[in-house]
Amino acid sequence: MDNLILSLENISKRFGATPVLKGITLTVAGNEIFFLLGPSGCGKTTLLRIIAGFCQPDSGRILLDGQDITGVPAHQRHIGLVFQNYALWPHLTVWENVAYGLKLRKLPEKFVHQRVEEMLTLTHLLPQKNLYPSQLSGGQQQRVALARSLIVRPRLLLLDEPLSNLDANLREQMRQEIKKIQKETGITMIYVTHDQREALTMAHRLAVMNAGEIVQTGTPLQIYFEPGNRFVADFVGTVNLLAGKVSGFETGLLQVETSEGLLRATGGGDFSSGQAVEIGFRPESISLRPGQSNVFRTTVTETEIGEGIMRVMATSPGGRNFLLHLPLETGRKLQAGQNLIFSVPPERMIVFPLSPSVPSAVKRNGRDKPHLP
Amino acid sequence: MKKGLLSFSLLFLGFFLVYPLLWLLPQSFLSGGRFTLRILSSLLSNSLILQSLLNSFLLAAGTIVGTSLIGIPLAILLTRYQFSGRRFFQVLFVLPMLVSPFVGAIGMQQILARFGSLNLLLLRLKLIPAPVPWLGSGLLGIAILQTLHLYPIMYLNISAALANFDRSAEEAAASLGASSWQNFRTITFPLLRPGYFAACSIIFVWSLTDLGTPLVFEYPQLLPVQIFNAITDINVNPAGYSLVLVVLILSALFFIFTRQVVERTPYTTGRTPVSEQGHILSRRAQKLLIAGLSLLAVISLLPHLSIILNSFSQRWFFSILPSKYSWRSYQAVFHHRLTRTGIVNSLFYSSLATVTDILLGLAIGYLLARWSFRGRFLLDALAMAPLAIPGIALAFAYCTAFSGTPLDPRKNPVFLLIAIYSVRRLPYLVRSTYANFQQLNENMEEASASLGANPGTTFRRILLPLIVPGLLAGGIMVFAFSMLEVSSSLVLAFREKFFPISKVIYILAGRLTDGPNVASALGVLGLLLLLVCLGGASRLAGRRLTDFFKTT
Repeated sequence: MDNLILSLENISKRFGATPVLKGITLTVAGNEIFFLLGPSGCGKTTLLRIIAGFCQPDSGRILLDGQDITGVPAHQRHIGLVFQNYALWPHLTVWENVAYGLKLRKLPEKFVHQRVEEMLTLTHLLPQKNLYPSQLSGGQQQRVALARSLIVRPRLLLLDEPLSNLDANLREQMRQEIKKIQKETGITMIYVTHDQREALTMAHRLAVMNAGEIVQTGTPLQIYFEPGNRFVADFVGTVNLLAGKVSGFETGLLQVETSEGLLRATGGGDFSSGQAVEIGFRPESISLRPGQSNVFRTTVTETEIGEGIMRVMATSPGGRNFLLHLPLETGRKLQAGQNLIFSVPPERMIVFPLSPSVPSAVKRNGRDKPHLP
Repeated sequence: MKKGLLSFSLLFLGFFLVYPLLWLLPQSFLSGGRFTLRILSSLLSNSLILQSLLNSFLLAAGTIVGTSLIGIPLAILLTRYQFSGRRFFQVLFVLPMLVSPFVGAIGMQQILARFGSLNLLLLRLKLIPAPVPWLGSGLLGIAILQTLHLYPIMYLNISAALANFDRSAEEAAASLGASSWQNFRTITFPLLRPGYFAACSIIFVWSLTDLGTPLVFEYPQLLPVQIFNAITDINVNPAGYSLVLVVLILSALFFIFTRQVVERTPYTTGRTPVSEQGHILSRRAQKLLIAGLSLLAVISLLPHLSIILNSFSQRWFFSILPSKYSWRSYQAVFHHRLTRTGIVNSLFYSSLATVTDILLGLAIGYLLARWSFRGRFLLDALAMAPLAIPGIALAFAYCTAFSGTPLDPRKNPVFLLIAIYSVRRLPYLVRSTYANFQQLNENMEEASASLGANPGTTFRRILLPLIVPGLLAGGIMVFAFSMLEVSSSLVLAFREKFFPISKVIYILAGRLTDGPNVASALGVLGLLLLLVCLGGASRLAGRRLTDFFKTT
């Protein structure tokens, strides 16, 4: 990874007797939007505050551009932070809020004026420049918070669930806006969220956290299609899983014996014969054309309309329930009681070692995760 | 029924608040039936009065500086840092404001006098070559006592502001590169300013109108003492009216100014509670901090400690501590005719004032919370106005407005004392019952009505039981504060037969021999009563009790 910017080495933190972070090691490269994704209470905000300098780790080091900044006070780190509640200063106008960081640096008035105006233009806030935060809408407040942090060109910008207080439409709009701003400014961002949709759509790379540990790091595609364990598979989407046992390898395919017969998956060189695994597939990974392997013969039990897809619940003769996503046009013709044969190409199968110790993120009944606000 | 309650409340406030204050106006501006500014301008040519005005301003300004220097750092330390014993100190530093400095002054004279405990101690330790005149002309002593009494107001106001303070506002500034000091100057202090101004204005008016302390220190060149003295010769010298007017206008201005500042400050974002309970300090720092706080506690409780010592001392001349202790002063409290009269009188006045306030507070709080009517604003303003009216001003107004009527305090002050005690504390009860009613969902009343209960029954069966704890707590506090009410008691009680406790303490303090000791014993008993009441009230009302100490 070239252009290395931030690395965390073995960061640990406990609050009282409760361990919050258990040896986090992580590198974030320049010019990327890096996401920390995890359920609430997983330690992601604490990790962010440690990077910002508002919280001291019990052990471990933080390196920024190769420099150890672990003991450097927050105000000397030059790391920006956008707060979940924005933390705008109610006694200052939009203009004054945004200009604050530059004024601290005692820059010439003319320069400050010009930069603030640029920044307010970039964030579409120029008409509101003389208003106080209490007079702004949620989306405008959010943009002031962004502008205020960006104007000093921090080496790194941290965002702590910045969109969680906005309604769904505005959130979508702000996601695009933040992506655009990141592209234009080239600033490195570390973004904390519990919203997997946000992470998958915005991140260049992301780390999934659970119970104070990083469970998996990768690009959104890797995380979604190659989850390393049950927790990740569950947290970033829905997955149909079956318990099984590796029975061998054949023509580069991993063979797994399950209650639904022999299933085949590509990759997975580090499995050994006889190993207990979980194998499955995402609801949208199926194909209705006849395939050679991983063929499931099922009966439709229920259908419902989703966002641009049809959700189909189907049961195998052995009593296994599957959730399938089909194109609306195909799915609408299906009715309960009808037989449905589908297959999953081996390259779209998900396999990971059975690990009963990792708790499932959210217990669900084969349905899509409820959309978190 | 609502109309009945309204007319009763307005009648009471009109008669005991509006009328006496309005009475002052013609007296200050009319001479022989014609409008004149002569009386006001005569103030400016009277050098004693000018000096008193100046002294009073100096005193108030000094007290503000003193309370700021103690109160602000204290509030920051006690809210922002975590150390063992923090809760204890948070409560401890409220105590100094409980007892009027006028009682503490009696004890402090013993400590700060030329050959008082402090000088003797320092002389013995060879830290000073000769006694230091701590009390100076008296003004410094008064300022010290007022500061030690009033800094909890600063501490409480700043603490309250800090508790509502969104820490991320500071973190945002730090992430932009603001150092601690820059952060305090540009973010923290501006956001605390409303709380600070509120505290300053309370402290300023309080200090400006404190009658008891200068009386005990026998320092006459202060505004309240001049007003007090003016009452005796009010028929020949109208200066008293103008002085009271000056005091009233100043307090009203401060009150309005504070409200403006508090309301104008935009405060809508943030306010998330602090997730972390402040910095955890190292062992060493904790020890240092606790030592410092203990020292401050001892110093600020010195007036209280000194009256306790004084109340038990039988002989205390030219020694650091009393040379002989006894219960004699306490025996005297219960045997002297004067002290017994005082206790009985105060119990009587305060009980009636409490009942009056509970009834009025209930009525007005209910009306304000549950009824929109024309004149609602007026009722609200009238019920809250006593917050902005110093006791001495109202007492003076009573003295003059009711002079020559059957209520003349020179003949029998009982009615007026009860009235003034209740008027002075009414805002607290109105505010707490109002808040109580507001928090009760109106659906509860509607549910009762839908089951066939008439408004009276609903009030008795549903509302009353829900607000009784708060009401009782409020009543207890009114009782305790009335028992120890100083300036109005000193002004309105002329005849020994009607003296309340404060006036008895004042008279005793001025007597030679064992007078100050008996006065101290009476003060200690008052302190105990207050602590018991406070404990009882806080049991009933929980944390809401702090409402009684906020004044805006």
